[in-house]
Amino acid sequence: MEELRTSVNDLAKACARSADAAEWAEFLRRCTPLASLVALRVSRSWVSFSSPATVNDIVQEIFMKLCEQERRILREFEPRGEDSFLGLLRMVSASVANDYFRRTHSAKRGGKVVTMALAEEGAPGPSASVLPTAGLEQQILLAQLDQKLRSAPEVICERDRALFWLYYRQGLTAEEIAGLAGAGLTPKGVESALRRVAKWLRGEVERQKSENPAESG
Amino acid sequence: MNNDSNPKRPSDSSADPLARALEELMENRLSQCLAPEWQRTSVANNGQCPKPDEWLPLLGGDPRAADDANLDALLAHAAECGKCAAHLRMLTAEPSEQEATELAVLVSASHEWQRKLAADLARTPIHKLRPMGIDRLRASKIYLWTGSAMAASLMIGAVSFFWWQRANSPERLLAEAYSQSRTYDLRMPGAGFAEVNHETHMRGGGTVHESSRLLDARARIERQLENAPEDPHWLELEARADIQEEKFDPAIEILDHLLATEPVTAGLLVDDASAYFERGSSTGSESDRVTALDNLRRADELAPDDPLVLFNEAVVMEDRGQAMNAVETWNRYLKFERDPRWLAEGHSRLQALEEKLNQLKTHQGRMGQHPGTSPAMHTPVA
Repeated sequence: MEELRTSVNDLAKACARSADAAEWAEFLRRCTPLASLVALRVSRSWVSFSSPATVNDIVQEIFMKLCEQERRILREFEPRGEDSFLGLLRMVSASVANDYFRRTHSAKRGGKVVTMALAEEGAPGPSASVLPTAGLEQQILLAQLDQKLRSAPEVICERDRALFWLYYRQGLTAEEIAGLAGAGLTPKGVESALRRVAKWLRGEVERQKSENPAESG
Repeated sequence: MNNDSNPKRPSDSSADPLARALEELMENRLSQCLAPEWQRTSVANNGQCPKPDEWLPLLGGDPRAADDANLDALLAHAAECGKCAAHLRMLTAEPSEQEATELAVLVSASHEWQRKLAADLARTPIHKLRPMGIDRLRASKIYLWTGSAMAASLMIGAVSFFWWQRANSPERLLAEAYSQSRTYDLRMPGAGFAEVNHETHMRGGGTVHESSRLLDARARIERQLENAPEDPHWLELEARADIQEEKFDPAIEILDHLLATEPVTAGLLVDDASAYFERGSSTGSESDRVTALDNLRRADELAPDDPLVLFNEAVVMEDRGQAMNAVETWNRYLKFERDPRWLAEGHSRLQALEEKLNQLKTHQGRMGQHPGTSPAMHTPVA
């Protein structure tokens, strides 16, 4: 089939000016799973149980958003790498879903829609004041490890350091990290980089221990 | 990530808190038992999280901001900020089994729902490219033509101004005045070719019909000297105008002063030589003409390939009776002159000089055959 050979980037560019329902149907077939997934996850971050109807409404709003202002988002989309439109779709989906819940929450309280920054979204994070004592010590040690990673930029570049912490501290998988176009790596590449950083860091810790045996006890 | 592929862990890491922290960090991750939420939250996050749309480059959605520094900064922030990392994870993670099940039963996953929505979306307004494009094209063409016309006008104006300024510079006017009425043999810097018209030569007398160009040049030079009375350039031009007006005394006074106070140039020496030579020619002063030749010799040393210097030097040499030197200088002149008419005059003068020399040789030969000829008469001319 012709549609199967067409990339999602090309489909998005075509739909920017297309009145062909079949073309749009193919576009929806490719993009709805991702839009639905993001809608579902954002829904869960707002409410403990999100009804399928709510997710469906959000998905519909996502695609309507793409067509606002004479399909501005699709028109202005510039492909960057394979299926890069999906990155844009993720962001649009998250934005539309969050707006949906802000609107409904605001309506319930009778207020106006308030656009919140990403940092303000979701559950509030713990502050330093609630860190347990053991946690504080752990934080200090992790900061020391981070300091070591920063100390040899010619060996461990900034991106390697970020990959290390994304994986070991923030819990992203190698596949998820590779899914970030900005990382510029395949899952195997991410794993390779992680192995290299871990090996180097262990070596550094070992070296420090052998040089300062008194401190390490 | 495969646990086996990790490098060997140190056996006594428990003794070192830092080594222990590292091993705990990695073990927790490898066993999918992540550090508690407080540990995942940033230690460095100062609350300056990127806005939602600022994550687009990292997700491959915004090529404009996708430079390496920006991507590194976003990755580094996510690595240190638990909230942003969670947000990224939410956007990038593959669906879990439970999520996949939930998504599969959504109405939006059905072909029918998608077909109906596709029909609605296909009918949404489309950006009218062609009419807008034509308008923009027309507008841009108008701007292009207007801009081009303005640029061309400015260019023509600037070129015209510079051409007019150059054409009406006192140097040019003096040179044209010389070419319009060349009253003496010596050449003037910058002047085009003209035949010598000795009939209009006034030999120090008043000028009845002074060239309008000369008058114009004189007026401009005087205006400049009012502002800068010691300016050597305008003083030299004033002296050059004086020579053309056959006011040799003030010309020599100016030029001698300049030669004594300013850096000596071939141009100054040529002008000074012209003033002395013409005064010497008009008064019959041998001394002036000797001075003229001295100046031209010095100019020749400074500019040995300047045809104007060589032309004037050859003329003065000939006048001073240095025929052999003049022949040699004319021959040098002919190598460097490019103007065909000046070149023709050079050839003509050389030919005339050679003829004179030949006649002299013939005459000397005849005199040599005469038994009563004095040896003094065999002395060469130069």
